[in-house]
Amino acid sequence: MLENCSFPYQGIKYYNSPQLSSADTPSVNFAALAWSDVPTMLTITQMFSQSLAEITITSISDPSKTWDGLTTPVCVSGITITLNDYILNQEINVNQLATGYQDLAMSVAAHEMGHAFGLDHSQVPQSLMWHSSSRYFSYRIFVPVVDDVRALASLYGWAKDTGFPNEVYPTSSPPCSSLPCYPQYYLIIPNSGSGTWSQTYASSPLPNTYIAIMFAYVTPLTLYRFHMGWEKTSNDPTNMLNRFATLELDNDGAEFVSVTNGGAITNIFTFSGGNIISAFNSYFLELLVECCNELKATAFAFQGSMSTGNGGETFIGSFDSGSGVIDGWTNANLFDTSVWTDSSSSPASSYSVDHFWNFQSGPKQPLPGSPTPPCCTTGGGGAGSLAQGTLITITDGKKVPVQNLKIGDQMLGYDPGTGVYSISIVKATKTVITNNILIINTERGMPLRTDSSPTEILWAKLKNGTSLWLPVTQLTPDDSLFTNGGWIKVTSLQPITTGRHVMYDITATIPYFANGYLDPPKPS
Amino acid sequence: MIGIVTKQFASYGATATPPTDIVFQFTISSYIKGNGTSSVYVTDSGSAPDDPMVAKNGDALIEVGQSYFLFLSSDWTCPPSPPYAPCTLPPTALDNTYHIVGGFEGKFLVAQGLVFSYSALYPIPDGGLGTYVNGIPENQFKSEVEST
Repeated sequence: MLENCSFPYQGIKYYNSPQLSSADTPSVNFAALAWSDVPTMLTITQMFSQSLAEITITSISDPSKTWDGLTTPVCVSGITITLNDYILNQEINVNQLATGYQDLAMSVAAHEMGHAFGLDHSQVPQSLMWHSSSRYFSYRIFVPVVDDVRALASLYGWAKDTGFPNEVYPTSSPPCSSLPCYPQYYLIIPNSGSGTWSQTYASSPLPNTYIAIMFAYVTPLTLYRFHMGWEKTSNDPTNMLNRFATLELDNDGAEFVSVTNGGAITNIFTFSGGNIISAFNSYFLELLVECCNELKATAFAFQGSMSTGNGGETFIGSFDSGSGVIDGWTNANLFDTSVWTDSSSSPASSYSVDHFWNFQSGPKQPLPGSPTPPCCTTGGGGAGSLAQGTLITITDGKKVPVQNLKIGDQMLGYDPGTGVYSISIVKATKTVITNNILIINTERGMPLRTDSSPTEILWAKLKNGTSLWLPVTQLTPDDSLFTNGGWIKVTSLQPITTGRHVMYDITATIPYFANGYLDPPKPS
Repeated sequence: MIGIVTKQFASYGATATPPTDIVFQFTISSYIKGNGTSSVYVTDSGSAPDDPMVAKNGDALIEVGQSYFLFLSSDWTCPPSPPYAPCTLPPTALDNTYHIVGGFEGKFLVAQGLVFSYSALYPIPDGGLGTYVNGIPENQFKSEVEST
């Protein structure tokens, strides 16, 4: 998974425009909930005023466009995500699905949100950020999965499972009546060979002779499928070193596809026999894993009436074979995994799950040792120049986020006095935080985010044709900014006077291009 | 079909600046499959070819005066609104207006008797999208299309 840039803060707000269709609205809201629910420090909140939101979401129905979703631009305020209902319908029709529009729309909305947060496309076909809608049609992926979560956490930091370790496990059977609900049961896997259904043990610790790794595929409305796999070769936890399995589901059900550094897989169970499928609001519950002399298993949880007749599918839990401390997603970033889904049809209809949730009860807390997101590291204040994520053109024409520049890097330089392009060398970088920024929108290209300060200047051309280093606070629409593709008109200026914004001062040998616009070689 | 873009006829759709939804007028040289009139309208969306973002997005617009090999559709059937968004349609007569199938993947530039896919002209970092054609003879391309 790659990432482009990130917001300089951890609370991102979105706004559903009046043009967002009623067909897409629930998908969008669920996509936001799914992203917010993963164990990173990023939270996503719906706002009901566009001026308060960084992301605006809208719908069109345009047969002439080929995309089902579009995000533009990324990593700055003023992002618009557009869903194309026409193409979404076409994709459903081409794939001959009687239903599934809302699942697909959710996949697209969540994918585009990932871009808005700063994620690039993934190289993993079974991930939300895979570039093609095959992620949905082949793998039924419509929520962030591990590859996506890892990438998001690399930008915003991991969150700790705040509620899980000390939860008291109620003895009542699901469904519970109010959130948060707690795990009702452990799932116990007897070490008795294949073909044995699991048993449920309410409110009892796992016997230490068992290993349980559980994961499920759950929806707020419907639990369609519950798969599990595990491996165990000994009752001695020391024999469980570094075993890790990747699992995959397809039309044939669940299977292990790889095991590293481990022994034989002794059991694989697929609880449902097939013909059970996803539906809108489905949610993958994932969990892992064993490592380092300990089993690190955890689970997202669900509630509801989930008996299928196949066995005990009414539970989820967690177990640590080592210290006894369940740290859940704590170690998730240490492992790789896959996603489980299937593409069969005829969903079961007898299940009911009220809401999906995980153990992120209360405000998210950063995971100790996790990379701290940028908002918490820099401190200080004062004037900066370029917002995090601003793309600097380097000498080969590629663009590098400003935060990745290092002293000695060679940027594309330009001297407006002589009109000559050459190399501009980075002499110094400095990170500061400001409380206000100015977003400069132009008729083409990316918006530029700078300090809203009279000391911040850009090479500009006034309406009367005069070219000069002009304070951004004196820019007006119809003034032009210089780019390496020529002059581009300013269309609007949007001051943001709230929030904390990570900015970067660059000192260089000659002027350089930031988001395509010529910037002075010395910071403001 | 193969045709030459005679002019940029109209813009429509989203209020982007500059407009990204353009109706172009084409003079048709020949239809390889199907048939139609000798002058048609074709919609295209994207950015000007010299836009620095084009290489990333692969959405360069067709250009007036150039010759193209296009895969076209005139299916403008829209899903009902509500619940879906109202359809955005071009301002020209729909029975003589086409959109490019696959967008980026359905456009091939014909230059000096050679055919180039947009994936070759404007490589996309992700790659793997559409047919990659980098300068094969027009007749060869035509016969391959006819045989499929």
